[in-house]
Amino acid sequence: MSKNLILKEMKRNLKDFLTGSLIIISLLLMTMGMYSSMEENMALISELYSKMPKFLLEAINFRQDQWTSILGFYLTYFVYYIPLMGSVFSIYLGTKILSNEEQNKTAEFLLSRPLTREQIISSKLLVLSFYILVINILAFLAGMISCGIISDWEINIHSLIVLHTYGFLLCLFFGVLGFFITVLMKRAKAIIGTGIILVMGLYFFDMIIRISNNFKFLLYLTPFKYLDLRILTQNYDFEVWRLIVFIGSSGILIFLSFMFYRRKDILI
Amino acid sequence: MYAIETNSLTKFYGKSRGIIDLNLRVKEGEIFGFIGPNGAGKSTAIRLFLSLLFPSKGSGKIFEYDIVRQSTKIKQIVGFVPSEVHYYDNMKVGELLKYSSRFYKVSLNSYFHSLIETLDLDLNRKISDLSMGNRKKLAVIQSLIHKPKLLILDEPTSGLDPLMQNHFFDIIREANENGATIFFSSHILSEVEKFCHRVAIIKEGRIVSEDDISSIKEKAVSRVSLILKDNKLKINLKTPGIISSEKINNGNSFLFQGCITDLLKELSELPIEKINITEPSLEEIFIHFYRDENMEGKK
Repeated sequence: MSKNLILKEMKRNLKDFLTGSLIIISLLLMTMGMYSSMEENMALISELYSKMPKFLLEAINFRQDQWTSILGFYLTYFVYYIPLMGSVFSIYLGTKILSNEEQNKTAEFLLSRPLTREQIISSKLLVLSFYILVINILAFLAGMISCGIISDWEINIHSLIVLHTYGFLLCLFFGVLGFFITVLMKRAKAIIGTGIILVMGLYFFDMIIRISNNFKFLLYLTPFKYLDLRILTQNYDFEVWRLIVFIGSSGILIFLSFMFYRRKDILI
Repeated sequence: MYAIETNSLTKFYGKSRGIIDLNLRVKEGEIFGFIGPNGAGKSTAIRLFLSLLFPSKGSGKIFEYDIVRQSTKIKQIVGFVPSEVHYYDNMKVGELLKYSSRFYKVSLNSYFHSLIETLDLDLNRKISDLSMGNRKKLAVIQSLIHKPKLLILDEPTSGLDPLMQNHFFDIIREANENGATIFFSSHILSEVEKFCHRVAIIKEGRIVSEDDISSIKEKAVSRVSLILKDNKLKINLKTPGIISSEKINNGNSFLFQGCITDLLKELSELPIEKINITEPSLEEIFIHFYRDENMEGKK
């Protein structure tokens, strides 16, 4: 790794990180801020929701029994802020951190410095992982503090840690996937948009398959399937196979990124 | 040991030609010109030297280092000025130079400050605000801060005004006197003639000639354009060395490779209204002198 490059990349991507964090954290806090007022009208809201088609409620991750607890309420919105918005941010950063050098034609400058391709890729991956980790830690802290305050700290913090760890691993997977796609592309034009469309597409694909009675096996094709959102069940904890899926697939993508980038022609 | 040595170095972009069977020998300490029209393959060759691209076939060495396997060592001893300068727009000039110098683990010393002074560059200006010429100056300075053993210059004078071009050539000559080998890629023949010891000419991806600059100069030609007072007059010049004459409005235009004094003597006896003697374009030189050699080479 190159310390010089790492520091440069940290600075270069700071604005995107701050924007992403601000959006996710503020939306999360705003939603939790609404909980008290919604709690008072819970019966009315539940009645309203009960009139909606079941498949729609399933699609928007709403379950009536879930709303009776603070963690259930948190989970309903968590899926939008971390698995969806966090993944969009991650794939955006994952594609941008490398493709920017080719799009802005600074790759010629960077690659003519005395650095190995491995140093370039490992430095950029470190910065990418760091920002994804920090945004997830901030989201966890915001979630924990808001849930804690609302419930007078009568919440299962371990369950929150497990939930957010899965969220982080999903974001990391998408970040690395974006990075890998960039490495694979001959020319890095329009790659950022492609990455975002990919996440959104997979999310909606997951949603559609979930509400359909058939083709459930197709869920295994989307990374969202491997999230464990059963936070309200007893003994909710880490499951090794899920961790292996996330860490293993990210690890394979990182390995392949190194492999391909080592001999990639940089076309400027 | 050669500063640059390539053996059948070839690069194809899919089916498109980059360079074909490039065999170059650049001696240590010389100023080597690499000349060819746009699209001939000059930048491809340079990008192969710097491992931005990887060869389809063949091999190359910079000093004793292989261009594929030991590229990091190569980049430690090479300075590079690209034909089009693209740096990080939101950085300031000073920041970019510091950033670049840290990769080589060198400090910005008095030599650096003298370069800044000579090329008159403001360290506090944002790169996005720099003109093309100032970007070129920045590229020249960043290429020299680690005192490279080999300096690769890809169309380095484009964008520099004539005064700055003189400063630039002085700086490069000084680097050469201090031991640096210079690889100078250009499409301007006169620039290479003035500056280089030896030259290779590349056309359509192949080297068509590699020679001392004196041999190239022997092939020096001029384009002569004449406008006659009487446009009905037909002229038939006898001076040897006239190539491919063509009719233009009220006169003639031809390439001339011979004794210019003899030609002027003959022309002085004709009713000439205007005469213009210029350096022909590189393309013209290629067409008339190197096309046949290239064909023979292919056979």
